[in-house]
Formats: sequence, C-alpha cells, structure tokens
Amino acid sequence: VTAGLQELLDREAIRQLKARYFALLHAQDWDGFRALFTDDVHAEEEGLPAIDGGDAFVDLVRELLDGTGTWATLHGHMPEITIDGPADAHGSWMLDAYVEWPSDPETGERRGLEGYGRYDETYRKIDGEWRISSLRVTYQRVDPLLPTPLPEEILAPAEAAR
Amino acid sequence: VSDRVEALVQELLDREAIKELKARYFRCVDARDWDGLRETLADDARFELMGMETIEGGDAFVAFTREVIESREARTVHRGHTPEITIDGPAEAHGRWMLADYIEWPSDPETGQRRGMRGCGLYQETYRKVHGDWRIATWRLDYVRIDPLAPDPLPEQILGAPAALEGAAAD
Repeated sequence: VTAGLQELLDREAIRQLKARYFALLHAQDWDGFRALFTDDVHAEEEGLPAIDGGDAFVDLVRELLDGTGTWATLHGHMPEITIDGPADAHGSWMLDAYVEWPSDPETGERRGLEGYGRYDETYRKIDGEWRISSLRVTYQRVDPLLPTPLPEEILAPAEAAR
Repeated sequence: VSDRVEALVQELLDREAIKELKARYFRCVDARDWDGLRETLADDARFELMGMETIEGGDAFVAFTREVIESREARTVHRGHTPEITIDGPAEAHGRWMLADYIEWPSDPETGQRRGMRGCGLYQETYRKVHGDWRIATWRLDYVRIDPLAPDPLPEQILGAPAALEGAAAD
C-alpha cells in the first residue's frame, strides 16, 4: 500500500467513524455508540461540564436522550480531516442540530432548539480501528423553536403525499 | 505500483483536497477568519454573484465579504452539499456545490423585527493548484431561492432543555 493510498483509506475510515456516530446516536444503540470512543476520551460541549472517559460520556448522552421523550436530529457536514501520524489524526465537522423536548403539558407550546455548530475532534487508531479520542462542540448560533405547534397536516401537499 | 494505480490515487487525493478547500472556505467565512479565507483563493481569482459586477482578485473578494458580513454585523451559517468535482489536469479542476445559507443582520432597532434570509444556491467554480495547494480560481454563485426571515423575534430562552442549555440562545 502506498502512502497516498493509506492516507485515503484512513481519511475514509474516519469519515465512516463519524457517520456511525450520527447513525448510532439516532438509533440509541448505546453499546455501539460507546465503541466509537477511546476509553480516555475527553468531551466538551458549550454549556455543559467537560467530561473524561468513554463510559461517562455515553452515560451523559444517554441520560439526555434515552426515554426522555427528546427528539434529536443531528447532521454532520463538510469534514476537514488531517492525518497527523500512523495512528493520530484530527478533524472538524459542521453540525446542524434540531432538538425538541416534549411540549409544555399545560400550554401545548413547543420546546426545543435549532443549533448550528462545529465539532473539533481528534482520533486515535487502536488495534487497527480509528476511534474518537476527543471532541469539542461549539455553536455559531442556537435558535429556540417558535412555541406555536406545527400544523398537523402538510399544507399544499404534493399529490403523492396526500 | 503501476502508473495507473498511482494516477488514480493522485486523483482521489486531489478530489479530497478540493472538497476540504471548500469546507475551509465555508468555515472561515462563518468564523470571520479573513486570513484563512484569503488562503483558499488564488491571487487573480474572479467572482460573479447574481449578475453583479465581477470582483477581480482574492484581496478584493475578502474585502467585499468583510463589508457584507462584518461591517453589517451579520451572523452567518453556510453549508455546502453534494460536491461534483472534475479533475481536468495536474493543476486544473472544476466543480459544483449546492449551498444552504442562513444570514441574519441586526434586528430593526425601532420595531425589533428580524432581518435576514435563508437561501438555497449553486456554486460553479474552477480550481488551480498553486505551489502544491489547490485554490479557488473562479467562483460563481446563483441563488435558486431566497426566503426572508419571518419578522417575529425568536423566543429569548430555550425552553424544556437541561438547565445548562436554557441560557444558550445566542444573542
């Protein structure tokens, strides 16, 4: 394998790693999700305390999402990956987050946010597999959802959606 | 390794480099990293925006972008999608990208109404490799659709979130 080919394989493996991050988060597959991180991962998200350790990080995410009626859609975009050595790399991804918590039980108002942010991450290869070894999430902007409930039907639907 | 494999690997590396060039371009615009943005552009790059007079040169484009975004206190979110990249030679390439952007200027000081837009557009670009680094050589952006923001102010707080996030609504 030439150096150029190895670089491409590593870059692709890291993009797949992050794709799995989003897919397993949405599937709430916590064992699969945990396997994406090194045991000593360091995680920082704007507004939340920093966390050390893969188990502690997954526990926190699980506490926020699992069984809380929270509906979260996270999309990653525009990766920039740099391979720093045979087993080290870093990268950034743009994040679009659409998160909704259960509506206010008394007023029916929606509660949630639309966030636009960025991941800055490092990766380490362990036993041939890339894992996330640190991640930091910062936001460009966070918009609260408007409280008005959404219409129950699609307005002016295409024929196929009727 | 055969020459053919070598050439294919080089093509993949070039395509990767161009995709990350554009990712850096977007990141630098949104982060107002003007030196970083300048480095993504060829010195003699040309820019066409929606039938406006062509902007000539990387320096002039950065000055224009600073005027539109920084001087007018815009908050911007740019997302590039679905790149189509073609390598035309060892140092020449062209490509297309879809754009989704979300731009807000300060609210009307008298009425408090929001002012801004959400746009969908198409970039058509050419790229040139200069001293081993790909740069944007020509740039053209056409919007397919521009929606003004609804004028009603957003709620001041994120409701329903864990306590740490409730105060996180920007501005």
